[in-house]
Amino acid sequence: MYDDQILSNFITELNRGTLTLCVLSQLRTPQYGYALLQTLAEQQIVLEANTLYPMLRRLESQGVLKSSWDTTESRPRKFYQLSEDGVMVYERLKRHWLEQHTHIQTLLKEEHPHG
Amino acid sequence: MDDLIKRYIAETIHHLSVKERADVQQELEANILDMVGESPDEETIEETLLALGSPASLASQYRGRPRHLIGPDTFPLYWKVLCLVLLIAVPLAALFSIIGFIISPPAIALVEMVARTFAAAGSAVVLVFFWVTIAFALIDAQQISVGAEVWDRAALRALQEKAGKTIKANSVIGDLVGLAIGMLALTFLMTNSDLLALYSKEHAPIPLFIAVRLRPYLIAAMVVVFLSFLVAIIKLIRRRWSASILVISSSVTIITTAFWVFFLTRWNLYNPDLFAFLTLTQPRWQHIIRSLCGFCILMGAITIGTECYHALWKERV
Repeated sequence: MYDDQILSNFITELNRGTLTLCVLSQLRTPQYGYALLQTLAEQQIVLEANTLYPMLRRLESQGVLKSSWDTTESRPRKFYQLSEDGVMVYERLKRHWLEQHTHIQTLLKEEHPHG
Repeated sequence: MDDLIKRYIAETIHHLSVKERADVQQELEANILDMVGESPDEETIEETLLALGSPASLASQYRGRPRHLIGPDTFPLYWKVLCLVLLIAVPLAALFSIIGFIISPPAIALVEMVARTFAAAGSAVVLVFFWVTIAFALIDAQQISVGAEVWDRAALRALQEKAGKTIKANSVIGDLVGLAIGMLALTFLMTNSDLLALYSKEHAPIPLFIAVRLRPYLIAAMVVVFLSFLVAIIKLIRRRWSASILVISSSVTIITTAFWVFFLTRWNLYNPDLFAFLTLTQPRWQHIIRSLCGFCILMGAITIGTECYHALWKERV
């Protein structure tokens, strides 16, 4: 039996880049952290809160997201949304991912032609 | 808000830089309150905070990159320099101590002399560890990493160039050891400046300087030596001459030369008893010191010239 920890590390590595793409895909409209976490969970995208919240801040500092505080509710919430640059970054990442996905699918089909 | 949540947030932001604390605090509060829901019980709060991970790990996620005093890239070189300098400086510190006993024997038992010699060696270990660690930590904080240079065609071709642009490790290691010894000597002189004296069989030792006035200059000299130490480490990391290393190295050489010229020409530092003993008039003494300053400037110019030759050698051939 292959070491579970090593396998888990491989899966983490595999997911690392795609999680950013998943997060960006949901931010065409403003969302706050916890709601985004739930939305992603509903789509079977497992992302820990301690990964998402710092990621949102990092993406904001990189200019990909913009944020604003909503103070109209009972408690204030920080809403994140794609910035203008963020929309462009997201579109290019999406295109790259789809191309990559096609190539990888071809590779995997060649590996198992009857699969 | 629950006290446990407040304590968790306070502990998390404690690991972050001051400028981002208020922002992260506000954001974490809002997120955690969303996660626990309305009127949460103690168990829900605990489960939520446990799921977020320890405050230190959450803070490291916010920082984005791990914090190191000396990073993994630099650590092997740090360890090498530390061991090398310790290996040479510690026996020398013990030797300084023994020479001190021979020059002016104190009225103490042999056992105490041995103990003091060991203490001097121990102090050298602490000092070397302190200075080398501070130097590498500063370099690491400035992100001067081993692999930071641009890797392009020019850099690839440079691998084949003649050795003219390579900074020789042996020469830099020699500088590092010399500077470490200099630093130890300056530290030793802080408390024993009277040992820098003229010795003769007929007279008691005549100190060269007035100890009280000398101390601030010794501290400044330590700073200057430390700067040179930093430059030597940067050279050891980069191992190749570049315009930036040339500018840094030349600047430190100019600062060092200017400092020694300034120091040597502070006439009130010298002990007048020494002039009397040597039957030297002050103008004559000043003439000798100015010649020495001229020699310092000449050595500084030769150092800068040699470095320019090595750094710009490629363009000359």
